[in-house]
Amino acid sequence: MSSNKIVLTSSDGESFEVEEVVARKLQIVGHMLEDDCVINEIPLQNVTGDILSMVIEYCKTHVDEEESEEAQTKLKTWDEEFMKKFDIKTLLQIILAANYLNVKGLLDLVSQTIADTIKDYTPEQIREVFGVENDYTEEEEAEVRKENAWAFDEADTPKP
Amino acid sequence: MLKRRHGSSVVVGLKRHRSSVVGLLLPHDAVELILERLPVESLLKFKSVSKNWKSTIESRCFKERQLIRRKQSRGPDVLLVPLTWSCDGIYAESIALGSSIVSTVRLPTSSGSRICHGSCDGLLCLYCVYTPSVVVNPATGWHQTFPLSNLQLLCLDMYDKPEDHDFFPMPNLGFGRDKFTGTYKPVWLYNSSDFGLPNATTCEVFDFSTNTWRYVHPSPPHRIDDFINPVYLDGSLHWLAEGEEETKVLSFDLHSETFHVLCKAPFARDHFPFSHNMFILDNRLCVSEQDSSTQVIWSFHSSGGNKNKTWNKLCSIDVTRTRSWFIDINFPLAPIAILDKNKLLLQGRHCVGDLRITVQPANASEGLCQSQMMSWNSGNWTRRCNFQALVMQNNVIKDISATVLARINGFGCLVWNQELLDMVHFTEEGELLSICLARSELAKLEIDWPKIFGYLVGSDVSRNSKSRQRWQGIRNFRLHGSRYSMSCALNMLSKHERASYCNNCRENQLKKVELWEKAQDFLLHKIAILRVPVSHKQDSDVYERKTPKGSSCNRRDLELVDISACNVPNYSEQEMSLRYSSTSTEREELFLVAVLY
Repeated sequence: MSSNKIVLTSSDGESFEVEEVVARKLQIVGHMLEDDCVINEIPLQNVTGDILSMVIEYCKTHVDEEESEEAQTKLKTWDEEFMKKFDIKTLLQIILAANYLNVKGLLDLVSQTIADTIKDYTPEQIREVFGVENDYTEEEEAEVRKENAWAFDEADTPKP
Repeated sequence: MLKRRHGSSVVVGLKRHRSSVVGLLLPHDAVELILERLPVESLLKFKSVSKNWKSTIESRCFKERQLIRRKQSRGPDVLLVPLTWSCDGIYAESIALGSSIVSTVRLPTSSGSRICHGSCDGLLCLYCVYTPSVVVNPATGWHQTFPLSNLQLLCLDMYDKPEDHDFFPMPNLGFGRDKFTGTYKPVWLYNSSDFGLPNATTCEVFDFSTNTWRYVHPSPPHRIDDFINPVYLDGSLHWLAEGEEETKVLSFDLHSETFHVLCKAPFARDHFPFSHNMFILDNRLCVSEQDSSTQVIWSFHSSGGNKNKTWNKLCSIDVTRTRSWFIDINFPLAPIAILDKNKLLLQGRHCVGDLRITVQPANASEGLCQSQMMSWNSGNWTRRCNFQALVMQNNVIKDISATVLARINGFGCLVWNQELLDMVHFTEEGELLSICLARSELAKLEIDWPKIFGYLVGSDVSRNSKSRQRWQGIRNFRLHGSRYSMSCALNMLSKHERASYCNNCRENQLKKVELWEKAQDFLLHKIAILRVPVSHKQDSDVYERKTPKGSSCNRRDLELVDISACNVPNYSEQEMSLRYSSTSTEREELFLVAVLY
C-alpha cells in the first residue's frame, strides 16, 4: 500500500516521483489524498522544482521518525548539515514552501535556522532580505530606535 | 555527492534569478514563526524594521508565544540583582548566568533593597520601605513603579521611633500573575500583631488598574513565617503558616483572591527560627528543613485534586561541609535552580564577603576545591568571565549528583528567562481587526459559540502609532494590531486552512468575519458578529485598500450575541469582563475579534 508512487509537479513543470509515505509528509498532499484517493499526480503551484527537490530530500530523510535517541541524534546532525547548504535567500524560499506544503518538521527547522542567521542583522539588512518596505518616516524611525535604545546600546558596546 | 552538487547549484541559481521577490511573498505568519525564535535583544532591534513588524513584536499574543518558545528551547538563566539602599535612580547592573557564561544586563532602576522571590514571566519586583516599589523587565528596560502600601507606611512609622520598639518586622512581598486575566499582583501577607492590628494576619493586594492597595478579607487565621519569602507558582502565591503543632502551606489564588491550606508541610512545627525555607525547583513547590548537620529538601507532587498530595524527598545537603562558606550558618541555604539536571544552585542567606560562585568540575575526586572569587568592585563587573569550579560530592541523592553553591552578598539571586513581556493595561481606544476564516472554520464558529472567548480591542496602529495598544483578553490572546495582517488569526487555523489561505487562489473559499464588540461600564455584555462573505476580488480589496471596510458597517449588519447566555465553561461573566470605552459612532475602528481556541 505504501509503495504507491505519487508524482509531484512543481510550478515550473518539474516532476518528482516519490513514494506515497514521503508525499504524505507534505500535509497538503496528505489532505488531498484523503479527499480523493485516486490522484497520483499532484500539481504544486507555489513551489519551484529547485525548492521542491530539497523539501522532498528532507521528507525522504525524515520519513520514518524513530523514537530511539540514537536515531534522533543522527537526524539532528543531518538537519544541521542540510541547513548549512543554504544561504538566507534559499532558506526563505524553503520556509515559504514548507509553509505552503505544510511540512511541520521542516517549518520548525528552517525558521530556527533563519532566526539564528538573522539575529545579529541590522534593521536595514532585515528589510533587504525580507523585502520589507520601511514605512516609517525618518522621525518615527528615530523615535522607535530611541524607545528601544536598550537593544541598540548593547550592540554598540564592544564585547571583550 | 550528486545531491550536494545539485543543492549548491540551486543556491547560485536562486541568487541570480529571484533574490528580491522572496521576502515579498513570505506571508506574515511565516515571518512570525521566525521572529518568535529570536532573542529579546534582536526583537527590540527589529521593531524599527517596519510598522507591521513593530506591532507584531509588541503584540501580547506574540510575546506569549515567544515566552513559550524560549522556555522550550533553552534553560533559564540565573540573574543576580544587586540590591541597594541608595535610591539615586542610576542604572544598576545585574548578571545573567547561563551555562557559566556571565553577561551583564542593566536595570533601569536601583530603587529596591529587596526582591521578590523568583521572577514571574521575566519580570522582577523590587521593593523597600522608603521608596515606591518597582516591577522591572531587565531584558527590555521596561519598568513601572507602584506606591507604598499601608504595611510599608507602618514600618516607616516604626523606624521613625526606634525607641518604642523591640524589633522591626519586615515581611516579604509576593509577586505573581493572575492566570486568567493575565494581570500581575504584588501581595503582602503579614502578622497583624507585629503592627498592633486585629486578626492573625493582614493581607494587602496591589491593583495596577486602579493604582491602589486594597485589603483582602478574610486573611488566614494562622500566623505566617515571615522570614520566608512568598513563592509564586502557577497562579498562586504560597506562604508557610503555623498551625496547631504543624506547619501548613498556605496558598493564595491570585485570581479569586482567596486563601486556602494547600497541604501540611513534611515537617512538624519547629520553634527554632529560620530552619525552614520554601522555593521552586523544576516548576515544583519545594520546602526544606535544616538541623545541625543536614538540610533536607522535599518537592510537592499533587495529582487528581485533593487525593494525591505527597512530598518527595529530593535530596539532603550536608551542611557541615558548606558551613565554612557561609558565615551565618543558622540560615538554611536557598536553592535557586537545578542546573544541567543534576546540579543544585544554592544561595547562602545574609552572608558577608565577596560573591562566590562555584561550579563543580566533572572529574574532581573528592571534597571541596577552592573556588575563584569574583569581586564586586563598586558596581563594576568584569563583563564576561568563566567561573572556576568547586566540588561537593557525597551529596548524591536521587537525581542530584552534585551541589553548586553561590555565596552572595547583597544580591538577589533568581531564575530568569529573558522575555518581552511587560504588564498590559486597557486603553480607552479601539482597534479595527478582522479575522479571515475558511468556510469550515466558520461553520464551527456558528455552531459552537462557547469556543469564542478571546477578544481584544485597541487602536489601529496604522492610524495612530503613538498610542501603544493595550488590551486584555480572557485567554490573553491578542491578534495582530493591523487589519492588513491576518497572521495571528491564521495561526489559530489548521495548517491546511493556512496553506489554502497562503495559496490564496480558491475563489470564494475565504470569508471575512468582522467581529464588533459593545462594551459598557467595564463589563462586556454582548459581542456582535458581522459576517461578510467575500469573493477573491473583494478579499484582496480588503487587504490592499487603506480605508477600513468596516466604515460601511452599522448596527443593522451586526448580529448581537449575548455572551452571558453562552455557556462558556469555567468562565464567569466577571472573568470575561473587559474594560474599554463604549463604542462611539464616529470611531468605526472599534471592532472586536474573537479568537477560536
